Amino acid sequence: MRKKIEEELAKLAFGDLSADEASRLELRTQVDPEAAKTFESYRRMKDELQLLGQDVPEDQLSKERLRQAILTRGLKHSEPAIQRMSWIWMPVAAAFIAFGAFYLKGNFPAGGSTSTVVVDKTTAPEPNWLPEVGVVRPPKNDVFVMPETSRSPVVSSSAPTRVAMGGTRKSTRMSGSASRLANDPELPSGAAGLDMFDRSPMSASEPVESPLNFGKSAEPAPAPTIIVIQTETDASTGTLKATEVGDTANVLVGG
Amino acid sequence: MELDSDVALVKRARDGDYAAFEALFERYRALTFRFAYQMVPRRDDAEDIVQEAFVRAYQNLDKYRDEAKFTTWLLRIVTNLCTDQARMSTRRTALEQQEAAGALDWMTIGSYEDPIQNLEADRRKVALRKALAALPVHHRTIIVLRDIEEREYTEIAEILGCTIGGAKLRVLRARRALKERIAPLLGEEKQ
Repeated sequence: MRKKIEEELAKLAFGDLSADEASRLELRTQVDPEAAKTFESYRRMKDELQLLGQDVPEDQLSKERLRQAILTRGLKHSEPAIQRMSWIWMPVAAAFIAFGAFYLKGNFPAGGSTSTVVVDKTTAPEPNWLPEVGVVRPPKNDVFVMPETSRSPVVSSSAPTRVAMGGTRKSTRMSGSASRLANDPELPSGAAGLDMFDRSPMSASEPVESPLNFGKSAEPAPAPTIIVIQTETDASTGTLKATEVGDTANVLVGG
Repeated sequence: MELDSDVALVKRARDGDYAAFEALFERYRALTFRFAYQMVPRRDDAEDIVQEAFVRAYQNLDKYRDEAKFTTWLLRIVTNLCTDQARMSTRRTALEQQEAAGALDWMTIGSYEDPIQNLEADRRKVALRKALAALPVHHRTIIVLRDIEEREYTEIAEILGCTIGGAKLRVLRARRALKERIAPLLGEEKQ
């Protein structure tokens, strides 16, 4: 039997057809024994399913049992939506952090990724020194004890100074010895200006480059001298004229 | 709004009136147990499912939307629990239940005066229950909802989360699957 006819017979048996469709199909079941058999099997199935629905024992549920279950399980409060969906925010937060880091890195001075290290040309790091961490902080006042005559208004005790971060304990100890050196009258006057934290014997009067200025040149580089060779010859020497110019602003290159 | 309507009771239960929730439980425990009993083979399993359904309903009352009938929402919870139970239950459990049911067959009081008719009716009932229990859970759910509990297609669609046309189609498929399963149990030839 075709599936379509069987579906129609099942609908007829379970009462899912309209009156017109039902009467038309009932006529068919009267002339088609196979359709009649199928219809009868569905009709019996429907009756037996309804009987099955009546064959249900009494339950042993009770309000006390339910109350106990609710109390045992705890009265859960519904979480706010933001807490239930917290895991969704994780990739968003990670992306935001990554974007922020990228953006900040992009705002560093040009070439910051390759020239963030300042090379102190005056001294090379000694092998016994602890790893250097560049930190800028105002120098301690007791380190820069300068004679009155050498104190210059240019020198400021709050000028940023690169110090070696060998540990707080070591720094404190060396700070004390620096004070003693500064107050020792037998030492040459230049020694008083030595910053014991600094590995370079720079004078305190020299401006110290801040790591914040990494990648930036303090003074513009001297412009190269340009010699323009002209096509005219010099009458005295017989050679081409040459003129030295300071910059290339007014120089036309080419024919 | 009537004071004892489902919506009113739900509102009172949401506001902390536990007696209102108990009233809902008393009103619908039989309905949900009847449905669960057809879905799972064991009576104590059905009771556990009904109790669990009411616990979850109480915990999630704030998620119930008033535009749906409370029974629809409740039956949806029961349906999901029955589906979970059917997936977790082992074949051994089903066999134990079938054996227990078979052992008690001779004690069944028939509805016909003729003992032979009673035996035939019991045989068919046992076969039908076996076939129903052997159906995939999605077919069983729709048979119970439509042909045993006689729910409307609109409500079935809401419970199952499908369209009305989809619900009708599922009913047709489930009935055909049940007929195919019951025929060998009754010794009927496959048509």
